[in-house]
Amino acid sequence: MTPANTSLEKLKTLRRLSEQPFDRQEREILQRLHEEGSEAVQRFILEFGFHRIITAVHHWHTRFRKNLSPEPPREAVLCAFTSVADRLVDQDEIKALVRLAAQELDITPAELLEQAGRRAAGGLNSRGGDLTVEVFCLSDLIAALIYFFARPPGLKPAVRSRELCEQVEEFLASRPPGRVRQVLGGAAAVAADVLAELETGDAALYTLYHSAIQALEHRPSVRRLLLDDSEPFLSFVSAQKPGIYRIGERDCEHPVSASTIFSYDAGFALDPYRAFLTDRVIFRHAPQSSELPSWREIVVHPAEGAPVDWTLPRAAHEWPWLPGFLRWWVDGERLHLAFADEELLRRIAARYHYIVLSGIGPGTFDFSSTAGPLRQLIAQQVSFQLRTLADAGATLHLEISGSLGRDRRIAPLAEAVGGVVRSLGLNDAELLQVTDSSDLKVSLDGGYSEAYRRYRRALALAERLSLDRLYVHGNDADLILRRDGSPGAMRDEIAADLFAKGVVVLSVLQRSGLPWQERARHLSPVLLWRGFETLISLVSDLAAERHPRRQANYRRQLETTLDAGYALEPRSGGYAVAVVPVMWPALPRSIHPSSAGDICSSVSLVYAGF
Amino acid sequence: MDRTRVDREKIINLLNSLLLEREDAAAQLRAASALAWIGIQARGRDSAVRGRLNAAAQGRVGETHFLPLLEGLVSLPLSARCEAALALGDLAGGVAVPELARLAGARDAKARLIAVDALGKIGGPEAVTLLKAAAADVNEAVRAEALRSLGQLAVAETDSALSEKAAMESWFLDVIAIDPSEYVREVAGDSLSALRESKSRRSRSSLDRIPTPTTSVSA
Repeated sequence: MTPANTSLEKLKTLRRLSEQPFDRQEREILQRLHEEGSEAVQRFILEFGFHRIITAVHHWHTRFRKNLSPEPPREAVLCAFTSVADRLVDQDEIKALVRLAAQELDITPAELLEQAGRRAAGGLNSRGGDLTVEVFCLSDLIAALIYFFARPPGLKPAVRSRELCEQVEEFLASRPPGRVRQVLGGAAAVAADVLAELETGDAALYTLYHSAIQALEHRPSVRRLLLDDSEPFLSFVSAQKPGIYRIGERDCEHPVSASTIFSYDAGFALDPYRAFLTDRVIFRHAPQSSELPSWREIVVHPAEGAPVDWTLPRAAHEWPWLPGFLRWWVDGERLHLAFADEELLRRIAARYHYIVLSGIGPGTFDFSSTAGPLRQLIAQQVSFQLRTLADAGATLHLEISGSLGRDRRIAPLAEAVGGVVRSLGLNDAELLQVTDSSDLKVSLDGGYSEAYRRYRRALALAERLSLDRLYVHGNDADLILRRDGSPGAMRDEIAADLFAKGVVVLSVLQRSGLPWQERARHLSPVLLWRGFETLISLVSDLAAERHPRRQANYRRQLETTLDAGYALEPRSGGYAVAVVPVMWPALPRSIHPSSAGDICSSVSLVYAGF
Repeated sequence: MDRTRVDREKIINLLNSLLLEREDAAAQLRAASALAWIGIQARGRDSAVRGRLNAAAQGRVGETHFLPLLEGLVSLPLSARCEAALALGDLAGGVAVPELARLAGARDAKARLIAVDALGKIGGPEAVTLLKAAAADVNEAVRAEALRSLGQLAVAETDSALSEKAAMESWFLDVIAIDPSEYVREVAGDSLSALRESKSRRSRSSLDRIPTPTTSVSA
């Protein structure tokens, strides 16, 4: 019998899924493409007929099945910097939260909802700031939920007051067993876990803090890189071991990085407010310890040069968080954060073939004089780290998050990552944000499909950032751009992506804290209709871009790309593109898919052998 | 609305217009697609297979309505012919098998795949013979589709056809032993497993129906 919760069990489950007859799914694909498909799809049906969709579905299903048993890559992978404990709150508990909040505020639930509704309508929190960015009290938190009910998608507001943090903790602790589930979150932590489970060579994690509750959620085979000593060799411990720091002779636990996630179904109501879509809101808590920190000041040390005092907004109970490889220690009343020096970075790069980075966004690289000395130092240091790691031979993949900086320019990001970061991943919504910049114009004529527009934005971004590889993950299809991508490279990308999506969807189920094998039985065994809509739309528009629609060349290219899944670019230095319809079923609300795309991005990078 | 009910008159009109539009390939494809769409809507909830190993499916409209189409199909452009074959698989009965047999011999592997797919929905001894031949096709996808179809027809077969089921099991084992493609062998294995599982499920349910024997114990 196969042990539960192992990669073998997952691969067997995937295999079983792929073996099921897929008549029902084939019918759904055909029906929904005909009834709801884009203009490009309708044109395709007119030009080629339904049977051509059937042969494409069979072809991709075969391809999916054939790619379920890849050999695990042996290259060493280091994932950094994000790790968090996600607390998933059952939908029914949102009403309990309203009751508790009303009790705390000594008003009725109806009065509280009326107050929160007014706040949501204005979009401002109790301190006059953006409700979608920060919340300070229970009323703000409920107002944020109501806000996202009406204006999806739910974002990630930060919980910024100690009192609210304590109230949330008390609420979570008071819930009946099973109503709040705790799972590992953070793209880096989960990617390291999944890669270790798949037995790729030496999957390790680096994260600034590693509390006991984060450690508890890791599997034993993941190792955590330590930077807090000056040994000539890199040192590691099991990721199951909690991080400890010293104050004098006393050992103290690392602060906890956590999020509280409220998910709800479309139609769920806090009367009179109703959720428009099935969605979730993630409330981020800054790292914090059970007691107030013993230190009062924070000093940030660059690899070379004078230290800078912490000047960014921070509540007294919050620990600072920075992207990058850092050492940290407490010295009396000071917390010191020191960016790793060049020698240490070179040792890391020598050890790891792939370094997968998350927690860095376009806003990280604010070099402007108005940014202030600390922001400038962070931008310079992170930029220096990326350059040094790349120069020392590591292949850097950046999983980007967050939006552009205040001036909405992409130039600072391009300056920091251009020619340094070889591969970059982001989701389709983030692609839209990042390419909506003041200094990157994507010229798009009318009449093209949404899939083609997404491709053109991706192409513009890859060119602007001088990337060798760009991975845009979506719930319908993934786009993978490769500079000078050969047929072999594109086939490897597709094979790796089909496998990655399959494995990650099962990891997401497992991470939900529910019996995942039971849930897996209800997943669709075949690729989904929306994936085929995107595939057909994109390959149709790509063919039309190169050949007049009536020509035989147009038909030939369209049909070849539909089955191959990639289009080459003849120009030297140009980007070939692969489009992969994904196995990504509509997951029930109780399943927690956060960071799933980021994890696919990492797994596909490693398995594609980029 | 019950999607499995079909509009006979509409089907007959489309069959006629398909043959009348001889000079216009685009119009022929449109008519064939409209016919195929009716067939797609008429598919059952889970399995599109309507026949069995031993018995071909009944046509959803009178078999004679298809005869003029079947005679004229061979002269249609390949894309319209494939589209019509798709419709036949979902709408016609055994009468369509000879035309599907011709398409199963086409040079284009995608056309052969569509023919095999349609034959697998209709079933019956003639279709089964053709599917077994298609299981030796040079194209891996065609072979795999033939094996998948045969498996589904065997699962749909009634309990009384025990010898046919046993013969299919043995035939799947032969394919597993000799096919050069790992993927095709896996599909043959899936079909074999599904067939064995359906047999054991049926034997369990028939055991459930056997009344518990009563014995009289003498005092």
